[in-house]
Amino acid sequence: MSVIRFSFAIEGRLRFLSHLDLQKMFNMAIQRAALPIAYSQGFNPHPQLALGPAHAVGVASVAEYADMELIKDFSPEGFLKTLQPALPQGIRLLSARALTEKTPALMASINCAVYVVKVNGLEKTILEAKVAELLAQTELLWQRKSPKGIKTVDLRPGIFEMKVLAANSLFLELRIGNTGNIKPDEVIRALNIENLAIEIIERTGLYIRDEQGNKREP
Amino acid sequence: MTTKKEWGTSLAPLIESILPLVEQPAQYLGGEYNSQKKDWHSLKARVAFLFPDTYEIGMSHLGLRILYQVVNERDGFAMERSFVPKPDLENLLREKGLPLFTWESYLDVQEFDIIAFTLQYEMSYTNILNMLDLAGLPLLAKERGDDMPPVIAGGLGAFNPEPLTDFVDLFCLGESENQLIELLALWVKVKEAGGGKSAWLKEAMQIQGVYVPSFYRVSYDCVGNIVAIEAKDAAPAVIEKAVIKDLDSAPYPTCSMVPFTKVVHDRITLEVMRGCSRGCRFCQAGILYRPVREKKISTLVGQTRKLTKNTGYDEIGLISLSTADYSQVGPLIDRLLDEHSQNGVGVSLPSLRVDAFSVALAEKVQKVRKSGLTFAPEAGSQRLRDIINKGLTEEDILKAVGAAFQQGWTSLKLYFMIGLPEETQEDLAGMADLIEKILSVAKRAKPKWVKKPIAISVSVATFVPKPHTPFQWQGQNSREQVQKKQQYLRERLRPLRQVKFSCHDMNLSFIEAVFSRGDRRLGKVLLEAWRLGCKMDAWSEHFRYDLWLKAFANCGLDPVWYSERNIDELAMLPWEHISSGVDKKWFWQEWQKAQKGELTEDCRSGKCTGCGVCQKLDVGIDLAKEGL
Repeated sequence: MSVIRFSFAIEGRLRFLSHLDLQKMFNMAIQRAALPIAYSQGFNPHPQLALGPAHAVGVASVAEYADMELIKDFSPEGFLKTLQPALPQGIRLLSARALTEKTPALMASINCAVYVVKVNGLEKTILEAKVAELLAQTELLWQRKSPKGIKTVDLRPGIFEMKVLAANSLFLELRIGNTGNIKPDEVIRALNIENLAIEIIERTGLYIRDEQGNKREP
Repeated sequence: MTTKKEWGTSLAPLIESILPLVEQPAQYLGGEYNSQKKDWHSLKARVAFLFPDTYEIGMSHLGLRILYQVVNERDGFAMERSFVPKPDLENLLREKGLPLFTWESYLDVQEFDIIAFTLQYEMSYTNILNMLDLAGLPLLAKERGDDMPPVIAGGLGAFNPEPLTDFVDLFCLGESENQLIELLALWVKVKEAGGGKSAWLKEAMQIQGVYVPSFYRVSYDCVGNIVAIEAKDAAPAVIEKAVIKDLDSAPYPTCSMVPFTKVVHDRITLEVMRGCSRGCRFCQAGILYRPVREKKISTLVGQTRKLTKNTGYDEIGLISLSTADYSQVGPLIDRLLDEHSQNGVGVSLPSLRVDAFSVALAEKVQKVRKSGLTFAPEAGSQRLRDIINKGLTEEDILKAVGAAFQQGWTSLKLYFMIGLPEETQEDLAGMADLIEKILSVAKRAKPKWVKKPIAISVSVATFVPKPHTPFQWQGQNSREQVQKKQQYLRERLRPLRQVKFSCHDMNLSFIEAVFSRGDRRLGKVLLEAWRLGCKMDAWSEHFRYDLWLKAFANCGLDPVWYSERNIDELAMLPWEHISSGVDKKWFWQEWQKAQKGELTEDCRSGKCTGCGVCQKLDVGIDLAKEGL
């Protein structure tokens, strides 16, 4: 029995997969790779694979995490070598390690996501001014639309950091996980800049962040 | 956005920029595990396979998967797929001036050498026109120049290709595994000799099962009856379908694509045999896939081993027209379960015969979780079941129902048809009586320990006469008749609260019947219907009956003449020159027997019924043997 925590990238067109599609894809890849995955007990056993916080449809990533429970001991290197060929192009395994001691679940511990958002080119100074204006606010009310209706949320406490990298690129550090998700596209749209269009969003990191703002990888 | 781009350049950046704006973009991604992407410029023949329905339906189609592997495993040849974009994506494509693209490389469909469609049902024909239009191609074959790709089509619908002859350059009749490769090889040969589409079409007629409609002239009398179908130049007078003689050695897609999203049949598709010789007289597939050819158990065991390994699916669907008829079905299921159930892989049977044997098979594969069972008695009375040669007695049906409920099934789906030839009020009453009997048998058989309530769903379709069947001469009931019959059944079944009754949209069945037995003149109706906005007609939310009627009126053709008339024995049929290998005389003989309620035996029993397919196409019935 061993638990492997691995990270992977979502590249190219596969960024349009939903979290559910991703889950299904991994479950089938595990069967193809013939990995000895453990199953839950009960009437309807399901494979013991737990993905980290969902990436939004359309968001590429170089920092996704998952835990997999295996009924046999497996070296992290062997795991990567076995699983990678069973995955479609666009899902690239990055690293794996065996979890030795009791480790909190990904969903329970990850609370911070970092994004780089590419936008269509603008004056860098204008962008910087808008960002500064946004960060100066203590409250940022936002109407979040969902199939269930409209809900008002305060985005501001969930924006840990935001800075302009270039005229067409922004860096965002946002709250994610059980305490509530802040979506990068919401924050960009809350900048309230006319004609600003998002070209691509990439998740570049998922972290466990403490109250002082120190981050570590899960 | 009409700047000329270099041939063979992917549209990926442009398409990807609009994907965030559509519902479920994952259906448009391609790149599924086992999908193939080849280097465009190194290829000699490139086929775009266009499925005239959405991704979730198209990816459930076995023919696509077979041809995809057959073409892509050859050097120099490639096949990429395209499906119908849902309306939100279609609108965006049109708005941005983007063309229909292939899923693998996001290439412009019209840049392919050959465009291939599959014809699965008549009500997908407007989608063919819409896809050609989205691809930026003229719809009419005669308006597409020699430098534009030929449009070809195969599948069951190719056996009455006439309504599509204005739009399609070449039809493939029968089983295309070898035929398509021959067509591609010929394409390379003609191209290398400096020829183009017209030269290719002319030579292609020599290949078995290939029909090039522009080489045929059809003449009509003043009423619209066909008086002559003449072949020009070296075109064969009659085109015989292509057939695979030995399925064990035929190519099979063991490296099957695994969709990311949920599709209709989300499991391993294992074709255990082709053909069905039960001889139900309304059934077109039963004729077109003759003769019965079974795969050996050893072939199937080998293919399953590869399929489970290459796909990761946990369910093996045993596919054919009637899997319970596969002569080694019991031993096959045992072998598959022995080998795979320890890995959590199960077996499923999508279609069942109505008998206790089939219920026993279902019990074998669904020991733990019992999903619903489906039976198709088709007709309600014994007299009518004999007319359609269903070869099924009331006793068989009630025994099967009893066995099923005794073993713990609680939900049952029943398929019936109304409007069958010779149907009377007594037959309809018989159907309602039979459903009542089924319910009471179910109630008696259901053990006390089963808590779930009984749920019987009855689905009633309207008979659509199909070419190449003994009922091809018979007209469809009028819409008024159908409405009355549906009304009668609905009222009779209303008191049964365990029975849920539903019937197919009769307007849809009506238009289907028109095109099923249609001729070349319907091409202009199809074009007009598409112009008026008809598309995705098989989806009830998109079907526009009013526009269809308008299209017929605008073209001055009467749809009722097509659907309701009984065709005379001696009349020339629109598909007279298209042969499934089964004799027209045999169809007529079967129709005569039907009227007398005489049954025709299944030829697997050893007695040849004289349909003619084996003799004409030099094939034979091929049954699996015990232990192999």
